[in-house]
Amino acid sequence: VTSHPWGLRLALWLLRRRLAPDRLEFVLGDLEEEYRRRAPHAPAGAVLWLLRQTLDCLFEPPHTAQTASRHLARTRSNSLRYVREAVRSLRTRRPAVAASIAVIAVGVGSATMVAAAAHALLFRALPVPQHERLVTGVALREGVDPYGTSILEYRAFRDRGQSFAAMGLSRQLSSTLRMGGAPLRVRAASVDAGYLSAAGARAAIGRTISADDDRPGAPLVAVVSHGFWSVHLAQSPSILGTPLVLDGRAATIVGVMSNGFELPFAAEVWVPMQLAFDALPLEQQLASAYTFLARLRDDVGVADANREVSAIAAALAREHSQRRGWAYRLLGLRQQLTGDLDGRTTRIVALVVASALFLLVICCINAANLLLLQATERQRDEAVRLAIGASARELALERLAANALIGVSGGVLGVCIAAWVGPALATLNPVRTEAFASTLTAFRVDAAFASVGAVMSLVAIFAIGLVPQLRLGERPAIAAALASSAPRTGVSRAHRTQLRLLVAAQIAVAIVLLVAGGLVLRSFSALRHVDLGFEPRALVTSQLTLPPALTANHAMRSAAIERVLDAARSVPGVTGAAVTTNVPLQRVSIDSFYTVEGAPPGNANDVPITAHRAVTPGYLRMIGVRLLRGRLLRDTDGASAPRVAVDTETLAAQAWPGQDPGGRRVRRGRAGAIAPWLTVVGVVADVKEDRFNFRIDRAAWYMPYAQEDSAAPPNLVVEASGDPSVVARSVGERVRDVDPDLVMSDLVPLDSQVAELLTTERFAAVMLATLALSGLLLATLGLHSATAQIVSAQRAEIALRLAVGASRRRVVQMVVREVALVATAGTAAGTLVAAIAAPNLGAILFEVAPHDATTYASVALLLVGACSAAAWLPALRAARVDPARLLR
Amino acid sequence: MITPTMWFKPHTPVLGDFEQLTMLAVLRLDDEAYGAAIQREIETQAERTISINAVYTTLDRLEGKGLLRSWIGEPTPQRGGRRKKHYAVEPAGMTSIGQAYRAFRRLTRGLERRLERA
Repeated sequence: VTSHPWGLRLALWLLRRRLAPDRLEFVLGDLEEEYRRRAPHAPAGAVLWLLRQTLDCLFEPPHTAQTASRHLARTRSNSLRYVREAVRSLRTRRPAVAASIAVIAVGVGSATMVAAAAHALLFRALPVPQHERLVTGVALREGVDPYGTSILEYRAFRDRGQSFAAMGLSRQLSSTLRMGGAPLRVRAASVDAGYLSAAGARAAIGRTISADDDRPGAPLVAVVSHGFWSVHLAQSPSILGTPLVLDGRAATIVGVMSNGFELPFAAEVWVPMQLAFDALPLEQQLASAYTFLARLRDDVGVADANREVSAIAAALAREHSQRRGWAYRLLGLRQQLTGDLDGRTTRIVALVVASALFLLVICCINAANLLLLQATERQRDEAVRLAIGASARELALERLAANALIGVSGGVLGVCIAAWVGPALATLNPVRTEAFASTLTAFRVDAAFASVGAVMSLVAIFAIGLVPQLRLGERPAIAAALASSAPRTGVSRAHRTQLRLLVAAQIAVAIVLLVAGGLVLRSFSALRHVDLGFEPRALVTSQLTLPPALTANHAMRSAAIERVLDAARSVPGVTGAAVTTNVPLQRVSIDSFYTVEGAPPGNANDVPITAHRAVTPGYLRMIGVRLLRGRLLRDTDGASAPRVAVDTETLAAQAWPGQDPGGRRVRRGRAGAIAPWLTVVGVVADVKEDRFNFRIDRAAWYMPYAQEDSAAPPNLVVEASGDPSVVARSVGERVRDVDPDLVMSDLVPLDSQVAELLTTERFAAVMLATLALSGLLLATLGLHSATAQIVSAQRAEIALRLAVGASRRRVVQMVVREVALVATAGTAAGTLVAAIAAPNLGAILFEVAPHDATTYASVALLLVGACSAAAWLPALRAARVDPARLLR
Repeated sequence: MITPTMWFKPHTPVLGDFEQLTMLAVLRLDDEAYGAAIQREIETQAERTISINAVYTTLDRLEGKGLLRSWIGEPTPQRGGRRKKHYAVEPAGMTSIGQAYRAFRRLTRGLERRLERA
């Protein structure tokens, strides 16, 4: 007696609330006795038996002569009775109910899933204190082209700004770290004293970087990330004071960062910058090479702070001629992390959410449609019940309960689907973030989202409940309904209009979805087929970090590069190897001012910019640029040969508009700079080098690596004939043999880097296409079922027409007219709404106009096809009506 | 409205199919006829899955018709210390089930071989 299994306890608890008191003791005793008798032989069977018995008792409590009247009085006011009645009525029409539940599940599921993704991307708290008060910023050349922050700007914000409670600068390092064993490539960040405290960083062990550490000449300290400490230092508690060597400089570990802190750039090691900003020469202060981070004061908004920094940037442009033409803009931390400089990501996410809601609307209308079809069939049933004394209110409540049950079931199923499928959405990778990827792209459906799903189900319930309730006003004509001997009383004129309206509404919403999906798909396709100017297939790239011993001067660096290239070329399957200072579309691009010989700009500050690439001779041919004029770089363009450059056509057009650039000279830096002149030996078609300006063509030039003293970390580019991943492994091993201290990152296929660029657009395209096609499918099914019912109700009329001599063709025409009427109305309304709303998509479309005729025409064509398919079966059935049988 | 059948109302109520099974189970179980045992008996002998709920509804109805009587038994530990409600067949019940039995016997006479095979 002492041990009560939970199942038994639950059953007894439930029944105690349900059974009449004079029965309670005996029923409970019987159930417990029988359960205990069965449990030892078949535990699962006993539980099932108990469950079944309990459910039976719950839904039909035993009556006795004495309790019957009391029970009746109690249940009259009992809402459970409506649920019971609803369950009973739903049971009698299983297929329609299952279809409604499935449709609502699709709508609620997709909306919940998309809402979960949007929440993670746009709203979920980042793991830093008060993340919404953190801002970062970009310097804008010509007001649009984003660059890092310069020390000059940082000093001005610090000295003149009132908006910030704390601020700091950081710089990304791609470093080699050595702690005894083999050298490691790590993501390191050099930060000034203010950065970590502004970011709200806390140390898990030891301390972070203090102002004393950041003084020039202070002993170098390092803070390591929690992840680095776990992976490489085995979470050793006695880590403080351990020496390490970072890029050849000795440092001491003074702390381990708290778990989850990843600012900036998901760094693994932080070291102090140790720069006296105020004492630096102006030339160094001007470099836009740092990442700014600030914490706003509590009473200042981003807009206020933006006004202030804009004013400061304008003042700097007046004070320093070199800053003329530059502006400055603050961005929220999340905006920066999701790469949402121009708000495109937010717009795309908003568009996907809106589309999911549109689909939910279609689903609700569709379910309402299905239920409305059912309502006709229930008319007779309801008329009978009204006749024997049920009140109209009672019937309405019952209908409401039935709809609520369908809505709740659909909602629960939908949320389950969302929870199951949601994480898969993350594989579509809508954003590539520099830090906090686990927070921003974890699309899990948690408790919060179950409640979002619940709200959406409620919306669905009201939506689907509303339509049948609209018919509440018209009291069923009891006598008429009862007099009719047919099982179905036919479709009244008002009812038919309602059906048509519902179907047309579905088609209209589907059209809006299809137009949006079509435009985004076409834009994505245009982006994918953008002429890159190079051929990324079969290329893999890796960033090299040469040991200090090999980079004492440029001649040594060039020689080391040659050895690396020879090693790579010796691997079987490698058909080419080259080095460049920047792979196309890398996150960080090295740019350079340039001056054209004989054409100094009118304004000394009007300085055109070009992407600056020092490459080994084979590079351009290997990546597949198209030569338009002259020649590419050759092996003979060595360190001692005359200095040459190959330009892109945009650079040539900017520098020598309308002229042949061959043999002309250009050089790095502003007018009057002392960089050597370079002779243009060739012009190539535009190459997409600039990641941010992917959608436009920007100037670029290429010069021989041997001739350009560049300390930028070189990128190895390898062309492989076989499977690039297999070749990559051997190349890695062979290159590391060149020098044990040489470090290289994993070789990554270049086309995957290019594909990564369009992740957000791909996300939008896949999501919108899926949602739009689901919408189309549902709308078509809705059209089909409504037409089928109208035809089926008109069978008698059709038979009569056939009997008096109408041809079967006319009958088919009648059905087609019915479908065409509804489809045309829906299409017209949908196209109108789409055309009005489409200009809002302008900002995310590429080379596709919001009123693109091809898209609208394709959507219309698709719809004609879908509607024909929907009309086909009902039309056929109408044509096969046999008047002799039906009119008998 | 007056119908001719009103004057020929039988004194012993006619038993339904499930009522017959219940009455027979109560008879067979004798002193041990209470809810759980009756349910078990019907399930094993008639090979029908039934709910305790249906058993009680029927028992209550039969008691209401005066065919059964009931009394409260002693609590047992297997029942979580709860008491049983025992049932026994009243003379009117005996008449009813006897009538049903005889009708069944008469109607099946000569059909035994065919029915056994079915």
